[in-house]
Amino acid sequence: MKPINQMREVVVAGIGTTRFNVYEDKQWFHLGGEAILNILKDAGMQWPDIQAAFCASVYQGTGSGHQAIKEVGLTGIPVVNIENACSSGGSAFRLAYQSVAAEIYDIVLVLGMEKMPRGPIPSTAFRPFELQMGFNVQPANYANETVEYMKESGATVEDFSLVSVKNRKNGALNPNARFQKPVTLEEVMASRMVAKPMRLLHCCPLADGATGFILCSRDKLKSASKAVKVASSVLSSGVYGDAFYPSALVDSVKFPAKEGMTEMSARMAYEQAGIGPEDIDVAQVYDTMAPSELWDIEKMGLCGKGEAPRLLREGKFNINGQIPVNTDGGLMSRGHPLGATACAQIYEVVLQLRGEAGPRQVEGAQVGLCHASGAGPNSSVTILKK
Amino acid sequence: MEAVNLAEQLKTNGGETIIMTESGEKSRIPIRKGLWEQSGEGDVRLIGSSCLSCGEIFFPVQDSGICTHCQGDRLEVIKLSSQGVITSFSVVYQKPAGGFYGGPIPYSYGFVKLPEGVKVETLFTGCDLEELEVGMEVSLVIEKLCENAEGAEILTYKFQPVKIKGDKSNNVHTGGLNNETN
Repeated sequence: MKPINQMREVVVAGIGTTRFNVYEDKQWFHLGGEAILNILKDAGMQWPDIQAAFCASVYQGTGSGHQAIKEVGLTGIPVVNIENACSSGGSAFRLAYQSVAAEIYDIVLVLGMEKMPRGPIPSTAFRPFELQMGFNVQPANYANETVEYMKESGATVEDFSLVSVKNRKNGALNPNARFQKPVTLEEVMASRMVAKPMRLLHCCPLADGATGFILCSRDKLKSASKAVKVASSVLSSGVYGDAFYPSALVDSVKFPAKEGMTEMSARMAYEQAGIGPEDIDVAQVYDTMAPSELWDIEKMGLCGKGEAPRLLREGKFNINGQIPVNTDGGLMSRGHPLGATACAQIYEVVLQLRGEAGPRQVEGAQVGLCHASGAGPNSSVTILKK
Repeated sequence: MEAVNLAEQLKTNGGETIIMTESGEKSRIPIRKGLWEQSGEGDVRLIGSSCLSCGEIFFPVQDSGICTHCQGDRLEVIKLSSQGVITSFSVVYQKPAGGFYGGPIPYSYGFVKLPEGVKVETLFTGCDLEELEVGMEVSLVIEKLCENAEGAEILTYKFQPVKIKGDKSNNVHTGGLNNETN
């Protein structure tokens, strides 16, 4: 097996997105079509240049990617649909990356999109009796992990409320976010209890949206100055003994995992990229629930275990901090169209590495990391380099 | 949320039973067959699998017949302890999506670690949900979850705080395993 980092270099040639919002009059394929046109324009490429399309969505059903491609036009290229829950976009990106690295294609499209069902998400990652017992409440599943994290790290409800405050502040600088209004600590702490100890403003909002990319070999670039290199793109889909409550996966008491799924995905991504967490200038870490940003920052190795709450208070993860996290407002501001979310994280890092992030620009950002995890379980990590 | 009178419950390994109520016959159906078992004396236990190769324990029984830890295929069905300790929990204040859950709201679920070394995801009952705590000792109970469309009671397993015998203050016991408790 040849390591992928010894294969052909792959770059992000163009990016495009819709605003993430609640669209009553648009379907996912409308949003997907809009994103494709934005991507082509950004890359300076034509639709017939695209040789394959990798389309991520979760709730749209059979042929969902084809529906979006049809908005622009069928050209005989293969269209593949990828469903990997909240890591769908990262999973599609990885397949597209591999296909260009392996020299199967030179120019491919990645598209993540979703028109979200309204209300809490009816996850299918449970057995029938678990659904009947009401175990599919994702805020409650994260709440269980939060209770464990609070016990291990000493984190308080105020600590993870500050994640919401930080991300909503960043989101106010992002014209594509669903929520562009900051919130105060008091507002977060006083918001309605959803699943103890998780309150409404600890949970990311839903949104509809589409985001995507053109990946290609360097020689196919139309604009070399825009190119951002894919340093690694990995996926881990669970390890034995590691808990993932959003999929009713209970940890083993007798045989706990030596390395959890999320830690494994981070390690593989750093190894593939040939760098370490100390090299990361900007990170998009999965904040589907406010406390998950704290433990996932730690699992990405961006700080030590149990240190994230203190470093958050010290401002280390602010846009002007040492390791800015969720500079575009994260899921907490952007909203969470499942198939598009991991793509939106990559979109933001590409903007940051190009120096095009406007008022939320991280000065001198050279390397960025994106992490999305979700039911299955899955954990995808993508590292991009200028 | 009255606890089921276990004496009138099965000797049928969690099968459907018919009981008489004031309004006539009513059937009680376990949420899934084979999750628990009851002895003739009314002792109720969750049923799991134990791997004869590596010793891993599972709840519920591994339908595949394969140990997902070592992939061994020699599993035996075991009765699990009926008491354990809460490792985490949440209290849910809104109806879950999808229409699968028909029980009361708010409700609480989380995880209980049993002494033989397995964690069980479970509903909690038998106290004010605000009284639940991590580390609290809890014991197994079979209770009504909801009624189905035909009016039959759906039964499920839950865990409830262990109360110290003879303690009229209703204080829950959060210390070590107390064999005096019921």
